[in-house]
Amino acid sequence: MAIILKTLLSYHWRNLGQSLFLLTGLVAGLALWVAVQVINETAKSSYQQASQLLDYQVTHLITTNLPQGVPLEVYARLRRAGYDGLVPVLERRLRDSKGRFLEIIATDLFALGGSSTKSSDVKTEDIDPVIIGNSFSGEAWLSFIQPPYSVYIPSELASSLVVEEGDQIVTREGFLLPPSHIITNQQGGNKLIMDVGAAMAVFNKDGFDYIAVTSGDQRQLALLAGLLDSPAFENFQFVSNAEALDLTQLTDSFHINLTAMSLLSLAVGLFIIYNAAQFSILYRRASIRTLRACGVNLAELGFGLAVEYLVWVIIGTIFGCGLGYWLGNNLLPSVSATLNGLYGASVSASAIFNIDWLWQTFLIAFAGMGLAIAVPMRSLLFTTSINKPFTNQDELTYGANWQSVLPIAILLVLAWILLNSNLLNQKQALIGAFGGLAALLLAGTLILSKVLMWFVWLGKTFLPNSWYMTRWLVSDIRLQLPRTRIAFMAILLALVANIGVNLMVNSFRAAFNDWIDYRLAADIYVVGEYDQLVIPKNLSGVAALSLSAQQTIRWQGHSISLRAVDSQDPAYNDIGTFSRLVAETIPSDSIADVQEQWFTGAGVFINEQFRHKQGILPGEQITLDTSTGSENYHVLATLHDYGNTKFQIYLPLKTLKIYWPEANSSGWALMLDGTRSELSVIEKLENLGVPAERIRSQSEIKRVASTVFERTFLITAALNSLTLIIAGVSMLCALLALQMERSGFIGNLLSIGLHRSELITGMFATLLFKFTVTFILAIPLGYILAWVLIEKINILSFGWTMPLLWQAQSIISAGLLSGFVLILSAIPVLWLVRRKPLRHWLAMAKYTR
Amino acid sequence: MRILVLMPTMLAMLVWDIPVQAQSGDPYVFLRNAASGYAEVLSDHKLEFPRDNGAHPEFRIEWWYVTANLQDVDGSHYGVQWTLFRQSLSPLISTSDEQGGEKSDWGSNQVWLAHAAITNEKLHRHWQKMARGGIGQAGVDAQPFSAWIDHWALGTSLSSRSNDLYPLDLRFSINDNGEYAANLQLTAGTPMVLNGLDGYSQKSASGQASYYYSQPHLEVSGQIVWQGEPVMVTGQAWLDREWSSQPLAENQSGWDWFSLHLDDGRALMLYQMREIGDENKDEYWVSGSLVAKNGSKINILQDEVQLEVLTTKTLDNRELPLRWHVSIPKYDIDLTIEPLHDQQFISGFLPYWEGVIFAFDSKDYSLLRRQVGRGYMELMGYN
Repeated sequence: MAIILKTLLSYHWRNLGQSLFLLTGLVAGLALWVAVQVINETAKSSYQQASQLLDYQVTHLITTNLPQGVPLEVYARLRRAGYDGLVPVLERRLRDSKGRFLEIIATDLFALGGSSTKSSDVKTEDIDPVIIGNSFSGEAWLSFIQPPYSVYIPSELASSLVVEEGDQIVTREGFLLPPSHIITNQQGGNKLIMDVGAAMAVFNKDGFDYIAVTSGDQRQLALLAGLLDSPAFENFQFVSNAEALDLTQLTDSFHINLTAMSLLSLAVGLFIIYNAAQFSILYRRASIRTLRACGVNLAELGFGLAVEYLVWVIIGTIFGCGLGYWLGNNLLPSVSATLNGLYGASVSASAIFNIDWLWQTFLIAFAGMGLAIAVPMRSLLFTTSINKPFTNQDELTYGANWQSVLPIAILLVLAWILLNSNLLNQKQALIGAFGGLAALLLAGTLILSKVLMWFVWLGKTFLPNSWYMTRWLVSDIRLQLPRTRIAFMAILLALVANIGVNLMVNSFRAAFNDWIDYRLAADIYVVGEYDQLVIPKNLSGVAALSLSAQQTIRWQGHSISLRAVDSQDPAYNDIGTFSRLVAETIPSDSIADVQEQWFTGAGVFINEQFRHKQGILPGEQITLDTSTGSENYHVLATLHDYGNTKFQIYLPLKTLKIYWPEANSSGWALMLDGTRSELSVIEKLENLGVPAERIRSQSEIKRVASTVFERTFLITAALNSLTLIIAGVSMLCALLALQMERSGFIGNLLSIGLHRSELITGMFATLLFKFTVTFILAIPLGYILAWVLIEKINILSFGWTMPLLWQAQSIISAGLLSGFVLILSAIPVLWLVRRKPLRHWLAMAKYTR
Repeated sequence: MRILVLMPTMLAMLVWDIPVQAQSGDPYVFLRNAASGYAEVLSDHKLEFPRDNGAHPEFRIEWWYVTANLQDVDGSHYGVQWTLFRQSLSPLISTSDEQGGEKSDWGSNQVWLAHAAITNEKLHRHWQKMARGGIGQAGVDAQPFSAWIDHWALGTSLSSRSNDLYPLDLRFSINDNGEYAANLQLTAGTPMVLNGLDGYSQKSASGQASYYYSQPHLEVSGQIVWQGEPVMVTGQAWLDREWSSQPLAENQSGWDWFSLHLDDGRALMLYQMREIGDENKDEYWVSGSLVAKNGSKINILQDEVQLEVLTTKTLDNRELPLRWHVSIPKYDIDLTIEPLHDQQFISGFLPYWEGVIFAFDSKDYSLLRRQVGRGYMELMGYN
């Protein structure tokens, strides 16, 4: 047995290059899968952290409809009544000057840590000098809670924000945060930590946003719920904390998305394995025949190959996990940027490693490689008998027989069903949509062979006999197909993914740019609260001045933002602009009615993510808690709100001021009359005392928005490129296998006097022809992919709708990129034909006979 | 669990102003920090009541401290400890009304810590609470007296006549895998005992001192809850009040403190400050009070007392002297001190041993083990 194994494995020693391909296929496919696991688990761990209050699990919230927020007296009263585990919280979600989200959590660290802790849980040896820094003492506490205060920033976040010790961040909303203190522990996740008293002063609040309930004691929770239900607490609500659920639900679709892409890469990786396995098997035909002649029976040979297969799986698992972890770690910053851009979610830049991935990767490698080598192995064992000569059993036939068309038909029907089914919930619908896409792509790969054979048939039938070279090449394509079709399937998948995703991203970009043009209809914005500032309405150069305000409330446990503008805001009072913001089609003669109803307070608009995620349609009513009690609001229309994952309700400023008098004003919008330049108006504003950091020009906001948008798709681009690279490797393996198998044939062609350049031209022409056919097929498939992404997956994932735009540029760039990869993979093969002497090809032929 | 540990630990560093570098070495270093800027303890100062029952935010550190030895109807023994600590993190007095905590001042330089413990004959359970000053979550009112942190409170009972300190109600409860609680009423018929010279209690030869008064003759009745089971109890308690800006001299490592209710009706308080003298020799500053049944006090002087460690035990990596011989021949006191059980260590960030002790007559200890008193012992500053 040892000799059989030695003989089988000796091939790999002698042909390290080829073994490397096998390993590349296996490792590449597995590594992307592991990388996505690294990303998903790290992100989920970060969400878990985000759902907690500095590592404490928050089960419930005590909220209020009082204008000033939850007063301190209520908090102290509840604590003195025995409800410890209550923590006052003030949260702000702001953006820095570059548009990045800043999650600020302000609480009382003493309340958080000092609630009936069992003293025995606290041990001096547990004291970690890096908890907050190296000099956290009473002095540090005082600088945390006394003016000018300090804001604690985890070091990882500080470096990503390029903030140094002592720096003061100015937010886009116009708040000047206290001096930064960089902390080395990550207890706050990726949040900026402030003292609640300091935050109340900085954000000019008299109360807390809510009291977080960190106690899990059911009896105390029940008592607290009962107490808050009593008339003495009529302005307070006891609600369960849905924030964690919100973030998990929001990002679920993104992670399913990533997983789908990793599975696509795994599939492409399996194609490489298939090709590489075929290659190694072809090469060893002679060895196998010799072994069989020496009396090795099929069972022994099968066992030997199985051991070899297991060795590959183990090596692949180790390298796949290692590379995957490295890759995941390196992709995390892109993912973090994407998740921040999409959801405002913060993901740690330190990757998690889960030991379970080792055995999961092993199982995937075992199953995947088994699937990939089953056919070549069978061919090796049963066709390489002593007397039976090798025949090309894979030779393809023309035309459409039912055995070959049936799987395609089944896959297409399955795809249609999955894409149109109304599954139980959004997550299932999303998985269904991805399943439908997978079926569609698989059907596409099967169609590819059929289409190629159809072109061969066309060539054979219609090409004149005098075009002997072309006719020969067409016939040759048919002979090559069994060996190269799998590689072209991989190229097809990569092309479809590139075209589809590019179309989707470009459509999204166009819709986003269009939307932001209408949404930011004013020329200059002054952000932040305006109670301290006054801008005269007759400021020269300004045609109109509009005020806006914002308030965050809770609705069914979810955080909802109320956004209000006055009647001067051009985005809402101009029919043309407004109609571009509305997500559904409203007849043009009704638009003005809808607008008027809204301005008179007869109803509200909601953003389309609210509509799609919560199933609220125009015409329905929603009930909101206001300072005067519960009020019903009629939903008039839904508005596009790209880039926002929070639920938002739009209402006129006067309505907001009546029902939520505590609402924070969020700034002005200034429309210029054209008589003065933007710069001169900005200068006037500064002269009026408006801080420069609170003034934003429209172009500046658009630039920041565009940067955020581009950052959002970093990970998509990265995964797309990786898939294409893997497909390129697959193609290289396939071409080498093909060349190996045809070495005798190449030798014969050279022997009969065919010039090497003619042979290379012919080989390249057939390759280019197959690629062209693959590319042409990829166009409709890519378009369908983009359609599914926009019409199904985007809506399910984000709740955003947009038109799908046909863009030749996306298709051409994907084609050029794939063509480039193809040429790169063909160069070594063609180089061999050019350089290797005739005897090499004749000698090689004996191995594969 | 580690996560839960981190936050209190961090806060511990805040509360006690302990530089982190000192954590692994000496967690008691803040007790030796120079008092500069804080109010000084003066020997000619007269304590005034009820004002001095309240807080003194101009001093660095202060505590309200109750220990009780209790018995149920079956004669089973329980111990209860409740301590409220206040610390001022800077010499500047906060603008808030720290006495009542009525005015909110989020920037208060005052922080509060409380320890509660219940001990039965086999087990010791202890908990802590922390709170910032200035927001009403914790504080002390002098009149009517009330000391609280959340719902843990020691205060004059509502049934008290308007100006009386007593009866005092002590209440705390914990849900810690089973409920633990104390709801006790404390009464006293004797006046407060001003330790040292009219409450000026010297701690070292170099002048470290505190203001220190006690009420050793508190009668207790009420209920405790042990692992969810209510138990009616009666017994004796001891109230201590102390405040200072630098309780330890630089060469002092800590103290051993005893409070004993003797069967003959006397109450004995003794402490020895441990210090390193010249040539690295162990030296002690010993002082105490012997309080008669009627409340009259005699100061115990250093050369009148013999304090001898009989055995030590290693707990929480610290070698602790848990058995003692106390002899004050002048007052016919010759006692062997033993803990109710050894495991009464409070292993928090500021670790100390605080627990129930029994006093036996040393003369016939080996033969009869005749118990002649009970009380509490505190061993502070052992590393």
